[in-house]
Amino acid sequence: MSIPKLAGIETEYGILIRGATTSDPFFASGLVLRSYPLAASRLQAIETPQTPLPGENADATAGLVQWTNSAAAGDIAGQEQTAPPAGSEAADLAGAGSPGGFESLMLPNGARFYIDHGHPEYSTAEAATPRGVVAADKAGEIIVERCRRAANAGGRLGQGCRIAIYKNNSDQQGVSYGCHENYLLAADTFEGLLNRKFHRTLMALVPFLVTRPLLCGAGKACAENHRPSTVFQLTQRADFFETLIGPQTTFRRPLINTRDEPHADPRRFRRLHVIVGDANMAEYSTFLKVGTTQLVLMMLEDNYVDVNLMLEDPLAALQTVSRDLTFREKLPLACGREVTAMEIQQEFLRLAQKYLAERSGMEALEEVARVWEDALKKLEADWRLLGGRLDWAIKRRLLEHYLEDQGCDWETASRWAFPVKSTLKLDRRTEGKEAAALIEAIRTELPEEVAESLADYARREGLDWADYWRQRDIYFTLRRLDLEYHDIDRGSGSTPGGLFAQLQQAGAVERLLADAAIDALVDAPPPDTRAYLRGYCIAHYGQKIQHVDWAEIQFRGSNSAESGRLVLGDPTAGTAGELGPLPTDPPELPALVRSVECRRRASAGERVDGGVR
Amino acid sequence: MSDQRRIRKEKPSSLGRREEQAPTNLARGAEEAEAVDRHLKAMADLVRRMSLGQTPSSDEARIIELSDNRPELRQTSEEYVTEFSDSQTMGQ
Repeated sequence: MSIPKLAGIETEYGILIRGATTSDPFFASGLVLRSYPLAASRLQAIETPQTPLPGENADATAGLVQWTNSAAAGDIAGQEQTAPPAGSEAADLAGAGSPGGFESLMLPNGARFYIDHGHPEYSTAEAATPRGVVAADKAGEIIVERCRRAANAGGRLGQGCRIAIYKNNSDQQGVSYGCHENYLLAADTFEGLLNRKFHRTLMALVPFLVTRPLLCGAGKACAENHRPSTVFQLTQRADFFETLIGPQTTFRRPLINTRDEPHADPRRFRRLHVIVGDANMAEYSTFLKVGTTQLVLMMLEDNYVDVNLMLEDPLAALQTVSRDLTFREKLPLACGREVTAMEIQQEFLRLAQKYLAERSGMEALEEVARVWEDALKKLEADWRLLGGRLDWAIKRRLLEHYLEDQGCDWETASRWAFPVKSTLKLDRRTEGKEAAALIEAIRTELPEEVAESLADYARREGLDWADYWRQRDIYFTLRRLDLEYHDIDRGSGSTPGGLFAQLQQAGAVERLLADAAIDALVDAPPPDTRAYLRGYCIAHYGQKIQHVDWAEIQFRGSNSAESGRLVLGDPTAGTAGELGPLPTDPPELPALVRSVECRRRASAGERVDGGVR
Repeated sequence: MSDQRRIRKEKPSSLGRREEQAPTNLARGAEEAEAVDRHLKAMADLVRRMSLGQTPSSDEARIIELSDNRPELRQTSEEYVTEFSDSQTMGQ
């Protein structure tokens, strides 16, 4: 029987200081990170998470919730070099983003907030259900947005400058930053998918991930990274995947990422790091992205997937899926057959429905299957039916409204993309003049071969240069609308937020969750994973925490009894269901440890007595 | 396409020249302001249509609010997009 597919999402946000002569993303990200209310939350834990690699010091993460006393003192001392003393003024004032300054926070809600490659990055805590993951992801948006506002109000920016943050994956000019998913796998499953039984990955997991953009692509108004030109595609990230498998994430990005950092007891658990997804704004898109993947991984773990949908060229197929706005293009399989992306998704849905029908207690995933089926049916009938639910469809509808308003269409905009991109150096002196002035400018200001190529192209496509400046504005406004859709500014009072926020506030976007479900995870952790205990410790013992990461908390108290290491080796342990409500008035650390142990034993006994296990 | 519906741009492109681009955010002449207003109205109309019939109380008021509280919305689309693209670093 598959283990629970706990999941989390890590999002790198696009950031800049608008209105500044130069916008240093490290500086901007540092301001945002330092705006997290450290004092209010008594947040003190500062360290980049480091978990032993599989097989290396496995005992360190063994056990479910395990307390190791005093022996950890040496380790704790050894880590002081990279982090200011917990709870010290230095911790609060260390220059975020500066060399040697802190750049990572573990939050009382069990999440991690840090700077990565110049981007503010938020990693949600582990959650057990797809709804829980969506709520944790949206709670992260709220936290990042609050910090952005605080940073803007902090007096560190020049007049007229403000930090803007975008939950997207591309700068539209060839630079990408990720939104990764993490799924809990049994160690044996992970080894099988990436090594011994890689054929199962090729026959099932890869075709599922390649066709998943139908459900969870965020949509993009351009092509990048020297990929074939298009004016709209389903995903933000497809242009950036260049190899099938590998450990890297910043170049030659692989469809299957082999990063093997379990953040748990490696003898029992592994973490599948999925990097081929988009950052989603719409709750339903995230719900389907995570929920359908959880289902497929559960079926793989239970050896339930009996299909062979091995794609002849998975990377080419990803490009096709992302660019096929008809949903009818065939994808060649290795066996010689051809199928559409829709047919592949329908096949996995059919399997999932059968899998769920044979099991009980899977209500959270049964909901996923219902929404999945609904989405595929609507997609088959008319994609516009999803125009208030899924990101790419909402965005496509938005952009088509704009084009219609301009008396333009995708085909025309697409034909003009090449000339516009080839002539960006031209200034607007010729705007409003006869087309001849523009043609002359092209001849004199661009290399001869470019000018000739453009002339040939214009003749072939029947372009009228008199329409050039209007088409150039359309080209950039499409991209602007795309970008503004991901602006996480939620607006306030008379100030409007990003386009997605405006659409949602106006009722144009379907909601999966109530605000209360999201707000609950802004300050508190998901109750159904170890994040429950981790978050409690961070919230209540911050001053005694020397180091904290996903699988371990190191305490250094005033005496040896309060110094030690709390190991959270099992992501499914230490939950609210297991421990019950934890004291609002936190006891001394040794008492907490005893209490947790007692509750865990009692919980395990009850479960055995009750026959659940 | 009628002039009223066009999103026009009056200043030379500052693509790739951020030093010259920044000052245009706030200081604009009357002619430019008119173009900006047309742009903002187009944006507001767009959002309004998407919002299933729920309209802002006044387009004019809305445009003024937009401009006052978010100066970057006075930028042309080309400036807005370029400023963003020039600022990003490769991530994971």
